Amino acid sequence: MKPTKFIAGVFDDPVLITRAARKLRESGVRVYDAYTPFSVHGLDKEIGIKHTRLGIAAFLFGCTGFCLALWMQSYMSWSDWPMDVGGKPNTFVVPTYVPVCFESTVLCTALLTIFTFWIKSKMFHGVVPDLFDNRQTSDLFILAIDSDSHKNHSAIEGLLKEQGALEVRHKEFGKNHTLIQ
Amino acid sequence: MFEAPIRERWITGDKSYGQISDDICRPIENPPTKAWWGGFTLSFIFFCALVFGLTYSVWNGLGTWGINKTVGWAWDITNFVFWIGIGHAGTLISAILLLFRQKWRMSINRSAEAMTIFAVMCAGVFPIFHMGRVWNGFWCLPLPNNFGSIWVNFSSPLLWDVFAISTYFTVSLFFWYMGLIPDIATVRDRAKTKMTKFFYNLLSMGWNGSMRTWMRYEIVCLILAGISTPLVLSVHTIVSFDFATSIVPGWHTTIFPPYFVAGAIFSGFGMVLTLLVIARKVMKYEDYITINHLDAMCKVVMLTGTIVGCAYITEFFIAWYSGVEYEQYAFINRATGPYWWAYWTMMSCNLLAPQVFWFKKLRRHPNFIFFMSIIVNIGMWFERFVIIVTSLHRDYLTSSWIMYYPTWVEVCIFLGTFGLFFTCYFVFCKLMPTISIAETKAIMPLDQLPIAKKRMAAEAAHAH
Repeated sequence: MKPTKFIAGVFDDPVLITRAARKLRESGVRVYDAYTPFSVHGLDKEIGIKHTRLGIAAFLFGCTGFCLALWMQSYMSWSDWPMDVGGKPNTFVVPTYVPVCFESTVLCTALLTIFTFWIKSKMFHGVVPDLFDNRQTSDLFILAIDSDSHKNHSAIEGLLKEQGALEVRHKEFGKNHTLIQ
Repeated sequence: MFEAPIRERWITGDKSYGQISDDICRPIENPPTKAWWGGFTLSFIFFCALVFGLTYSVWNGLGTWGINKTVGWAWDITNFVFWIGIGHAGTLISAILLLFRQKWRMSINRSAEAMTIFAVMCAGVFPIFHMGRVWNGFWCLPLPNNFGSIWVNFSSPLLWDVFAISTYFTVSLFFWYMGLIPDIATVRDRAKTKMTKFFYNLLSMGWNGSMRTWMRYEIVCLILAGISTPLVLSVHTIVSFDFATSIVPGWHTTIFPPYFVAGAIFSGFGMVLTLLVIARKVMKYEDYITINHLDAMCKVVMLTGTIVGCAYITEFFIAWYSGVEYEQYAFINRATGPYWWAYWTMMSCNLLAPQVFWFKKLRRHPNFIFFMSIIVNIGMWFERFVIIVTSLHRDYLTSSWIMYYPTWVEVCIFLGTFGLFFTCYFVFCKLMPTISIAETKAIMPLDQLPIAKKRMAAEAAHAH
């Protein structure tokens, strides 16, 4: 069951939001996610985001692309219809397979990694995002805390304010909101 | 985070985060200026010339081109290599400089990547229409025999080119789009009308700036940069294989791959400078694309120009040293034969002219840089012309020696590709942020921002 009610600390400074996230973590509050106009380095660790395994996936996609190209070329020019071009038989001439294998590796890695990223992040064309503030993609930094799983709301609010939040908002989204965890 | 105090700032003018969004979104949110309409109309006229030139040559056949039995590759392949080369700077800036963590790439990468995509589109026109019967163009794809041809020949560098360039185009397009997503979201959230909101919402894929997504996003960009780096090197390497694997004197050299790659980056930076020197002025982006950016780019131009120059001299030396008389003749003919003017244009524009950038004053003078960038573009066009035409026009058989002159149709198509390129560029400038908003914000020094004053005051009060 996805949480739908959030306490949102609104910041205008990446330094302050990182500090606030650390303070929250130290006092045992689990931050749901942060929403920032650019990637604030260090904030991901403070809110406890696990490192992504997309790198491993990309490597496997690359291997797939390489094998596909190797299979395709040897099938076409070796097993299905062997050719003899200029007295040079075209049978399993591995060195000439290198460029196409390489390009196929790159193409598969790039496309499949991007598609995996989109699917994992629930990014599709036409999705209407649920925003805490219209300026969270411009100059505001939002720290969102799931309010159902925490009881001490006033303590959290106090802590956010103390750490320099411009304001603290309570926000409720519909059941099918797009805030992923 | 450590921030070196000595380093000059890449973004000047004490911008706040909000102001960066305002500045970069300004051309998108306001109606196009007169300069934009003028430029767009002119480019579109040239684009129509492209459509006309191509239709004319398909209708009447390649006899309308100046190519002949001896010089089968000429103007068209020159332009193909010229445009492909231009594209390379974009990938260098977006991928290689990302891996080297060069912060100055942040405000120029977007437009350079756009340039890559449009340049590859222009490049694609030439080999496709050089096939003559374009409707059979799909024969270069690996399709089963019953489609009309036998399987493609995987030992042919021309086929490798098909794979390399289509991969390069696809990966560059996706890399560019990935970079655009967060910025499209910024434009979406600032949009005032329903129409623009819908358009940018569709393209932004529901981006909300979640930290989780950001982290994955950065990894994906790093992976893309990691694979684009060998990709961009491979593309021009394979283009050079088109020549190097043949037995034509002047083409059959092992130096070609690195020499072509350096030349590609050189010409690409020439084009980036041509565009950005104008764009920063017209779009009032002097705070984002500063003199320091131009300076850095000029250094790259000088370095790659010198590498290319070294390659010219090496080629000449090796031709003599090899003792192969055909090779020797090909080079003597380049420098002193009927196309001597092309050769010396190339030499002076590519090897000698960029040496002026040893002087710091000249690297920081926008008008002079613009002039030099045009020189570089001309020089690199002539490099390809020299390599292709002067090597072919006097082949092994003296009786088939001939001259090559372009016809008006070829000139029309070439000028037309500039139309295609600039039409796309003008549309891009109007619809998309031409500077990466998110990345620019990320390189702002944290303790020099306007908001930092407030933070520091609070900290000082707290300490007491």
